[in-house]
Amino acid sequence: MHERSSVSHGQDDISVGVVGFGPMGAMHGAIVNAIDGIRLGAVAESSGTVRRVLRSLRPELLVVKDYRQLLDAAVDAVVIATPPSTHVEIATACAEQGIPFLVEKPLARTAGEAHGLVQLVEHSEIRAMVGFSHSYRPPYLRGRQLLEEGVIGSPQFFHASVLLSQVFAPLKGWRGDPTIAGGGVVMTHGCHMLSILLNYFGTPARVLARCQHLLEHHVEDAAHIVLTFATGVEGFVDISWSAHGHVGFDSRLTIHGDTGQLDISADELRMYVPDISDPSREGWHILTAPELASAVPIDIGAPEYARQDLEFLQAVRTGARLANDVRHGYLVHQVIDAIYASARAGGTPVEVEGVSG
Amino acid sequence: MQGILDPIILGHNPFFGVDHLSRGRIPSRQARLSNLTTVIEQIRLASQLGARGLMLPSGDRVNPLLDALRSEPALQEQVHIYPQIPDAGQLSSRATERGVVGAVRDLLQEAGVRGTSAMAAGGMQTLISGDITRLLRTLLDLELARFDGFQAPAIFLHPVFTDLALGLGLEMPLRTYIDHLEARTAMRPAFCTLNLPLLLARFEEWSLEPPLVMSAVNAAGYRMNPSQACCERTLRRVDGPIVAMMILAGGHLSPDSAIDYALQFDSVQSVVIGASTPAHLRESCSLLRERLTVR
Repeated sequence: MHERSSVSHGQDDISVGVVGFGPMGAMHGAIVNAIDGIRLGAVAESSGTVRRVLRSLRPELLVVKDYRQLLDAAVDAVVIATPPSTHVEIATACAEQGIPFLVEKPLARTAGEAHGLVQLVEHSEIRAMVGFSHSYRPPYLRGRQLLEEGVIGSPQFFHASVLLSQVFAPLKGWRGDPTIAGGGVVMTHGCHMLSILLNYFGTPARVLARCQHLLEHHVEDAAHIVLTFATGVEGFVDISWSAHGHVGFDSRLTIHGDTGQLDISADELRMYVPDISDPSREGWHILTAPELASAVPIDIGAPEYARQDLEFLQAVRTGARLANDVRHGYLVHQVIDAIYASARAGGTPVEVEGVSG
Repeated sequence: MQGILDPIILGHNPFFGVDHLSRGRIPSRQARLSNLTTVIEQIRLASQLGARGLMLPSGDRVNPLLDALRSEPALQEQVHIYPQIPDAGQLSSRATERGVVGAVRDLLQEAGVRGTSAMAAGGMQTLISGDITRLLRTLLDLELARFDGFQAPAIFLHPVFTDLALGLGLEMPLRTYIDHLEARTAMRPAFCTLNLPLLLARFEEWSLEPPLVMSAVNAAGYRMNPSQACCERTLRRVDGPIVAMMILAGGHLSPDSAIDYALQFDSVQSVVIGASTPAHLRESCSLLRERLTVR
């Protein structure tokens, strides 16, 4: 007999519905379905072909066209993996019915669009998360912990980058349409790093940014940002999806503290600690992914998705608070709005507005 | 009749700028292996050292390497390729942008342009009719066409697709993959996964024979899910055959101890090794030959 691993489901299962069955929706569906005590209960998908195929593959699964039918199907939690222009409507419907949700990033197209949703979620006290999955990469998780422990002292300044070799021709789908995507590379990929920075340094205060349109579409392909936090910590963020020579999602963050330095990437964490009281600790310390990583119930492409989904599902079960909740997603959006406003104004400084209400 | 598995298989990641541990090392590796001549020489050296297996990705990026190998008939004859299909990164990116149906339609259209128009046209018809089994067979045939003329003992389904099907509990696509390859080719249908115990549990649940599997096997427990201990119990329990990958945990472990760890499991019948430098290749092949001889 082979050892059984996360296949059986009991009566106390949490039933999860997935809205949007593209690559991300399918991946979330597969992850939740492989976790003990969780099952994929329903899928809402606009494509008739995908619905037909899914019904033929999983006849017992509820597969519907309209997300409202899914919400009526007694699901305990929902994953929203549709294009950004639909996020607020679907998330609001979840919140109105008291259903916890995990919405893929970005939360909305603008902070203003998400404002009512944030108030509704906080009033109803349901657990709601924004899918900034990159922050669940082990080096970034450990980096936050080390920063909070004061390993490098007080952070003084940072420089960060998110570079991908992904877009070298005009985008033809929804990602090139700002009315659907809300923006370009800052919205699509840069939001991950902005989420990490906000978790590390707290309240954002001011932004100065320039965006570059390198290709013949209506969204930005690169951005150069100076971001200042309320604590006075300041740094640069460079973002591009049209940079040659990068494999996958290449992110880096260097933080200079008054007693040391953290150098974090998606794959490893380097730490310089000039600790004169303990010479054995002085110098560079390198922690690689295998040293930092832990196993997950199911790994589909990258383990951070499972880590993120587990935290969400744990919050659904226990009511635990989430780091990347909708308030956090809203703050990330305020920074993005400030970036676009600064870029439109030719790179002048723009204050990041506080959340009203 | 299905081919015999090579005990040492050369991994393709360094040829295509993939480093599981550090993106920071990619530029230096690409500088070494950026031209096809260097890559071909590395493959030739591996073959001379006893590593006749060659793992290859799918997608257009592999075509120049396949063409270069075809231009060296003696080497092409020596090398056994192990394709990993499909190109998950390209498909995922397209499906996000154009929808799943749009991504498949694009693939079929491009296949038609490449000269496999009859297959592509058939695929379009099955896409319209929604006959998922026939569509999967057509997509498989299009993938296989890329590797015409090579000896391929086994073909691996990319871990993203294997693990997606396992997570969602989709038996039919995996059964179609097995049945079609067994019926149409001499290649052994094989699966790459990062969730070995789950794969074997699902296959037992679906009354499928335990397949040839490639999975992470390393002393660091890196990418061994749901836990290193669970994977180790599975590796001890099954008869195999298992192809061990990521044995160095991306360079975190020394080749000596990494090989000892992987080969402690009788089910591990083949090992994928990296080849970022000729010295690295010589060391790994030498150690493996030595350990396999005394096994």
